[in-house]
This record gives sequence, structure tokens and C-alpha cells, in this order.
Amino acid sequence: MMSSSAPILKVEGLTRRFGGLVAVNDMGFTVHAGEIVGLLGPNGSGKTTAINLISGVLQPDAGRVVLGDTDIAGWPTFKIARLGVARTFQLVRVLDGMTCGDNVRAGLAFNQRARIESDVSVDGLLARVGLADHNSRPASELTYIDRKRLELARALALRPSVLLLDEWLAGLNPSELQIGIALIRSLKDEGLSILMVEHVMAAIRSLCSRCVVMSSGRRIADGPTDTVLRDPAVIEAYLGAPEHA
Amino acid sequence: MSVSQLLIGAVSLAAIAGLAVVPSLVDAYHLALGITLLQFTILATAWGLFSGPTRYVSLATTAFFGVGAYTVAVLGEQLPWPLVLTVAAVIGSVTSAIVGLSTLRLSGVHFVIFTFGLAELVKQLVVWFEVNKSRVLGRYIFLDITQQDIYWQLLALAVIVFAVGWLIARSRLGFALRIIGEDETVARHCGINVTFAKVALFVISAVFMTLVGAIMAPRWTYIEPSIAFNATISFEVVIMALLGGAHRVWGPALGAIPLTLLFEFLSARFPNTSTLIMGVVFLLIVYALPSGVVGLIEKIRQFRRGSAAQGSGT
Ligand SMILES: Nc1ncnc2c1ncn2[C@@H]1O[C@H](COP(=O)(O)OP(=O)(O)OP(=O)(O)O)[C@@H](O)[C@H]1O
Ligand SMILES: [Mg+2]
Repeated sequence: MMSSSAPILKVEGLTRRFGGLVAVNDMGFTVHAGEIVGLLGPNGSGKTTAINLISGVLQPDAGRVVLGDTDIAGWPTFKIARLGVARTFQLVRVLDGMTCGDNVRAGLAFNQRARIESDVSVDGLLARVGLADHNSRPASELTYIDRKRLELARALALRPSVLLLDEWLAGLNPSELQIGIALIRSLKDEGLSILMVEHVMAAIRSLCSRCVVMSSGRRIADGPTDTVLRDPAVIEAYLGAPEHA
Repeated sequence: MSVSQLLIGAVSLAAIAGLAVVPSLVDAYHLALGITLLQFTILATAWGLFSGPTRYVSLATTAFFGVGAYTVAVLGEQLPWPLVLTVAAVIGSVTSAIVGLSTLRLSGVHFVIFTFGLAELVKQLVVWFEVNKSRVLGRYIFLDITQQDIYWQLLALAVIVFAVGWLIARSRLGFALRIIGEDETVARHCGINVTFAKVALFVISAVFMTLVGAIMAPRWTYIEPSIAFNATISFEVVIMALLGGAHRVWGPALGAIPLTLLFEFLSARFPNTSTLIMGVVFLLIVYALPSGVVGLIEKIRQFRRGSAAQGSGT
């Protein structure tokens, strides 16, 4: 049995350059089983790049990404996905030419982990994110929040051991935000481990037990959410960023 | 099995049986036309197998067709016919696997240009080999294969290509390709081995093209690279598949049949301007029917359903 303190995901020395720019610079952090870790930082600080490195969209120049006890750094995305790393995208991506049901089936069909679990069903996953009875509805007809829900259902279909959310709550109105926060909390209550990039402070405070803060590709803070959000270095990084001023 | 599926099955069987007796009913001219129709139907359908779901435009059709034809020119008299076809299929699949693995990482436009260049490259390789090694410019094909034999082989191949397309569309591979066509990044994140899926389909499609070339070869008694590797075929196949609509297995055939007849008519009536007219036809198709005949049919159906729903609703 895995103890609750065993890290599900451990990132060490992760580095990625784009030409002269070091977008992710010697990053390290861990996500433990059943916790939600916030990945924060001003615009352009390298959060999405970090997610892309973990999920295999980008190849790291250096560093380790250890999932369970396997170093997956540099693996092709499809293998990482099959190992149980699921994600959503900063700019929501659904398969618009397909039904909602097929969007979820896409997450189920190519993955041994998902397919052997007979209790995972398309309708169950749709209902799980609040899209019950949407199975045969074209994905292109969905509203913005429902597209976000569908994308989440597709990620959950992978039966993830860790879920990477890239600003999943961005762009929701205040009442939708409450729904979204409740949905993510319910995933955590089921024991899912989550790494979430987020700017919405209310969501971070109510969901994340720990936060890692990036600035210019580097980790500038890592600790319990309250402590991190009071950290002068973090406050300065945010206030110093002209986009947020 | 539902009633409508049984009906479709019965109609298809009757159609195949009907087509099979055509050679004994028609004259040589119409038999030749039938062969051309089958040739383009298979080529366009095979093209659509790969390009429909992936939306890659391949101009490599003639490369594989030519490889098939040349295999027959070289080995036709050495080996029994089924073995010749097998060798052609193997060469076609190896060639396409190499091409696929090296090019399918390319983005759309680069892929089009590469496949176009590929046909020329293969042709020049054959020319070089023939001139420097075998020291012949062309080859004679004297095989005991009649026009009727060609027709029947192509008919069988057409049945197979439709069956394979039908099976793929219902398989996990087909589902993977639809997802890849929608969003490759999402496909990877769903655990799909995108490269494998694309190469697999590219190879399957290429094997059919190679076999068409091989089966057609005995039709010419004399063959040389410029005959076997004719770039026009690649373009015609793209036009046909786009007219029909490549996102359904039976779509390309709906383009191949009328366009083969049209090209045949044009080149007989206006031998000097037929290429020009073909170009205009191509432009019109892309402009007026972006999703092909299939798209048009689906739109009409949707419209009917929509108005029926409105009618019953009020
Ligand atoms: N593919 C790429 N090629 C070149 N530079 C890139 C690429 N992807 C990201 N960058 C650069 O790397 C830096 C980090 O970008 P990233 O998208 O990771 O930031 P972020 O923290 O997610 O920002 P935001 O909060 O705006 O989403 C930026 O300067 C960005 O311009
Ligand atoms: Mg980002």
C-alpha cells in the first residue's frame, strides 16, 4: 500500500530553454497522493511550460519527472497519458466535430487503465462533471463552462493518478466559479492528486493545501498556501509584474 | 443485425454480382471504361482512407501506383501472378512505411510538397537503375492476362478496399484517426500513438495503390517510367476524393465515378484543352462543395430532419 505521504509526482531540476530564454529553470516540487498543489506565478513565468514538460508535449533540457517510481522525463505524450497523467488546457480543447459522448470515449478507448475499470462509463463521467444526458449532444453546441466540464470529463476518463489543470477556472463568472470550485473539491475528496495552475485567489485559498510559486522560470516559494501567499517575495513577484499591476 | 443493414448487405452483393458479369455483356471500349472507373474508384477510396481522417493531402498516389506497375514489369514473367502481386504489396508497404515514418511529423504543406517530390524521386531512381544497371529504357510486358482478368481483379480489390475501409471506420484505429483529425494534441493526451496510427493508415492506403498499379500494368504492353509514374494521376485522385468527400468511406467513389466519365468525355471531345477544363472543374469543386458530395448529402438530410422536427413540433 502507498502511504499518503508518498509522492505521486516528483519534479527535480526541470529545465527548458527557448533560444536564450530559460522558460523553466531548475524547477523542483512534489505532489503527494490526494492533495491539491497550486502552481502560481505571474504571466509568462513558465507555468504552462512546466505542465507541458510533465505531460510530454515539450522535451526537457534537463531534470527528472518521476511518476510513482518511473522517470518519465522526455517520454512521448501518449505513453505518459497511458501511465495516468491527465490534463486540461489553458485554452480549452474539445473535439468539436464529435458528440460529448465521443469526447469522453476518446479518453477511455486507448488506455488499459481506463478500459479494465468496468465501473467507468461515458454517462457516468459526463454526469460526474454535470453533463448528464449530454451523451449524444454535439460538443460544438456547448457553452463555455460546459466545454470546460467536457474537457475535464475526458481527462478523468484516463483514470488519472495525477491531474494537471491549467487555469481550468479562468473565464468563469462568479456563480460558475463556485460550481467549478465545488467540482474540483469533490475530485480531491475522491482521492485524486491534482496540480493546478491558477490565478483565481479565492479558488487557490479554498482548494490548495500547498502552493509552489514560479517567477521567470524559477521556484521562488513552496509551502502551505497561507504562508506562501504572505511571503514578501511572492507578493513582490506578483506586484512587480506589469500585467497584474 | 438490423433490417436496413441486411438490406444494404443484399444490395451490395447484388451490385457486386451485377458488376462481375459486365465483361461478358459489353464491348472492348466499355470494358476499358469499366477498368478505368474501377481503377480510380479504388485509388480515390484508398486515398480517402488515409487523407480523410488525417486531413493530410498526399500527392504520392502515382509513386505507389508506379512501384506496383514496375514490380510487374520486372518480375511478371519470373514469378506466378499471385506471388507477383504479393511482392508488389510488400514493396509498397515497405516504401510507404519508410516514407510515413520520415514525413508524417511534417506539417500539412510540407507533407504535400514532400509527397509530390517523392513520386519524382522514385521515378528518377527507376530511370537511373534502368539506364545504368539494366541498360533498358523501357520494358515489355507480355503476360497472359486479358482485359477481363484485369477487370475482375480490380472489382475484387474494390470490394476489399471498401470492406477494409468499413472495418477501419468501426475500429479503435478509425476512432483514433478521427480524434487525430480533430486535434492531434488532444489525441496524444488521450494515449493515442499518433505516429503509429498515421503510418498504419498510410501503409494500408499505399498497399491498395500499389496493387492497382500492379494489376493495371499488363494493360500496357510497353512500360517506361514516364508512363508508370504519371503525376496527373495523383492530382486526379485528390480532385475525385475531394469532390466525393473524403470523410466517409464511400465518399471518394461518388467523386471518382462522375469525374472519370467527365475526364474521359473531355479528353475525347477536347483533347487539347481538357487539362485546362479539369483545372476549372477542380476550382469549382473546392469553391462550391468544400465537404464534397457527402457533405452536401448530409446537409440535405440535416435540413430535412430540421424541417420535419419543426413541422411536428408546431
Ligand atoms: N513554444 C515556445 N517557444 C518559445 N517561447 C515559449 C514557448 N512557450 C512558452 N514560451 C515562453 O516561455 C515563457 C513562459 O511561458 P508560459 O506559457 O509557460 O507562461 P505561463 O506562466 O503559463 O504564463 P500565463 O500565466 O500567461 O499562462 C514565456 O516568456 C513564453 O513566451
Ligand atoms: Mg499558462
